[in-house]
Amino acid sequence: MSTGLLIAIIGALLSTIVAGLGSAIGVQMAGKAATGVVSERPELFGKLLILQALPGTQGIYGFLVSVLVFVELGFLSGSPELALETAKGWAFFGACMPITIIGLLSALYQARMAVYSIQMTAKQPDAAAKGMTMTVLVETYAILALLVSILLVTNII
Amino acid sequence: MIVPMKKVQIVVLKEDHEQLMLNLQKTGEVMLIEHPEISQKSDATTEEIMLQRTRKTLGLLKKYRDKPKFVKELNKVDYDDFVSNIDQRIELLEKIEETYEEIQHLKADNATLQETLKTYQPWEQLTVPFDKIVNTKYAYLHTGFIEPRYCQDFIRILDEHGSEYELLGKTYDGQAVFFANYYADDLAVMESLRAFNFTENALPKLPLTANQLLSEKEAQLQANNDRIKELEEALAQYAKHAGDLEILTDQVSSIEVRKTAPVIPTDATVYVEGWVRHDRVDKVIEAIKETTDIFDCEFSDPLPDELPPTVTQNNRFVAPFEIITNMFATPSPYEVDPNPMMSFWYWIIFGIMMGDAGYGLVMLLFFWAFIKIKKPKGNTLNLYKILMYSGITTMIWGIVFGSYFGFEWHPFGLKPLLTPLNNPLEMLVMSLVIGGLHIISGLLVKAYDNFRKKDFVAVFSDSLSWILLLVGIGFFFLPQLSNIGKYLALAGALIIVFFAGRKNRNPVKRIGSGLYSLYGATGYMSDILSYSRILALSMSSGVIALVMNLLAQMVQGDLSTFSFMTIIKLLMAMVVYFVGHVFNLAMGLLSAYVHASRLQYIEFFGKFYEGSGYAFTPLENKLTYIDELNVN
Repeated sequence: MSTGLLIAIIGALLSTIVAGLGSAIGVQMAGKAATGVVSERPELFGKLLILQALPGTQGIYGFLVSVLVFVELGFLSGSPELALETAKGWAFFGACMPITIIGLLSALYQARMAVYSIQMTAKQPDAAAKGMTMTVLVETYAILALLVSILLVTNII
Repeated sequence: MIVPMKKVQIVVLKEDHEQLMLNLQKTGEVMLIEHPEISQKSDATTEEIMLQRTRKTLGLLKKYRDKPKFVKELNKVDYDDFVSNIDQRIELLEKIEETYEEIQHLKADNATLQETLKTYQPWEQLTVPFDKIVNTKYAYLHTGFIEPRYCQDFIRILDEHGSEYELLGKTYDGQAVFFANYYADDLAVMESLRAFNFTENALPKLPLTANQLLSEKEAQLQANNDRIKELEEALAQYAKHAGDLEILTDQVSSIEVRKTAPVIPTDATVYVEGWVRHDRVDKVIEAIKETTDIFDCEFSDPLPDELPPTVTQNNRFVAPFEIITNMFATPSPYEVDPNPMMSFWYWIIFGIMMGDAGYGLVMLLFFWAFIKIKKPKGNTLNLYKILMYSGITTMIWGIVFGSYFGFEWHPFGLKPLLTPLNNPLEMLVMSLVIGGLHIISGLLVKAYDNFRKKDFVAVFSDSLSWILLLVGIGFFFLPQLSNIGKYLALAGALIIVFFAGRKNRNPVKRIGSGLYSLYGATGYMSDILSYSRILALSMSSGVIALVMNLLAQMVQGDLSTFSFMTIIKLLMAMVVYFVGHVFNLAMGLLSAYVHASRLQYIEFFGKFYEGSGYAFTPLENKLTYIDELNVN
């Protein structure tokens, strides 16, 4: 296995690990806030579950980029690029970074927004959709990062 | 479309007030107007308390009730029954409450009994009735507890003084003891025992032995438990009539609504003011005529400074999507109804985001069956309808992408037009083009609105100019049309510069303000770029489906040779397929729902929508449990 391939794999793993970590923490933060509300008002469960799930998408985006890297490197078709150049390896690594870093941060910040929206929903259940929209705004930047990662990953080889 | 409203003013005699309210509530066509200073509402505290009671009792009965049937039956109640038979249902409620209270009472009693049993258990071996334990002339009797570790010391001290003792049962208080001291030694013995934490425990002066007392209490406990069982059986019987309590809840909340409806009373009459749809005026007149012959009633168009509530009326396809708009804001009654345009785009964009023919079919069938079987109502029903309709676009886009449950398949030699995974760039361009068209359609709605208001300059300068600019920039990327595109964009930009600031008389200010408006183009750019999420979401659901299939295939292994293991592997692979795709479908629905909504709210509505209205909430029966009232 070449150094390039190793670097590319590390990059791909990081995007799943780090973005997934952000989402895991984020979903947990929102979930904690939601349990408090649900214990008092069980009928809000459905609405709060959606709000809780919102910071979970970044982890999926990170995972998506990892899979794309594996597809590009030929792991899924059974013929991996064993002789990947070091420079290309770094290129893959760099391509994974937008979703790795922004995925982590935006999941954490989105989780804070989700917590506030959950508190708002607790006071005013009809405002759940507004809270959802405001929380989703944070995700825009994770989506932009994801796009940059995708466009780079799919065009290196 | 937005339905025009009429204002209705009704005056009836005071004695007809309640009947009028009842009849208006029956039609459910009038939204009463409240004038904060002069409107009056009746007191509905009784109803509120009654509602709390029914809800609590329904909660208590829940565990005694049969599970709801898989296929929901509609709960239909006759209107006459609904408005007249309340007392017998309240009686049922009271009976259930009494039964439950008795159970609570018995349970509290049992707790005390258990406590008593625990207290007397250590004295069980004491064969003397309690009231016989009295000091005699020469012997002083004691009962109490000593910690087990000091038992030896206790025996030693008593032996030293020649006292008689008996060790009884043990509890968490310690070893129960009964002993008799010679009267002269009593003080000394007690003094020595105190050093070993002896605690005196006087027994009640009862003419019973511990054993008798215990069996008496046990019998009582048994009787209580039997009674509780009996009562619980009674509750289980009552639970069969829980439907009546549900009807009662709806009855009482409807009365509450009626009582708290705002009216303006005078000495002999009652004045009611409200909004009604212009096409339902007859129904209101009918309701009043049914009440009384002595009335005065007038319908008028809203005055310019009045804001009537908004009622939107759309066809079967568009109507469910109204909830998406209403979650954001209710349209103002004076603007164009955004729903027809919005629903179309929501439908399309949702489909691309899901983008799998298999998932589309599942959505269509699942939500269709769910609506048929569980018969939800209100917003839930509308949401499921949206998801069901979006199943159609999901299928169409799935065929375009050649994706069937994550597998690439091209039946009948259909070539895939586009696959997000293989052509991300083309897919991105398509997403942005859809974004551009979406925004242009928003601008067209605005143009139509201004056209209706006969503000033709606004049509030209606020909508067409931007459309020209957007179309021009779009053409610019196509080699054949780039020349035309240049001129279109330039024309659009010039219109904006010269006309956007038309409110300013000063030409310099006007141009300045126009240039500032042109700067708004950056906003349009970020709006259009925001549609790149269509690619991201469509790809993420596609890739996860692909990965789930890979996982399942790994489990499944080679199917070419047949053996017992292949069947096991195949079954396990089925589980992976099922769980994986259900998860992906659920996550995909959630993302598509929020992100398709967001694109409407921020990018699309931002171009034209005011949403400064409020919803039409007429005086009507408040039905939580009842699905239908049969009016004969």
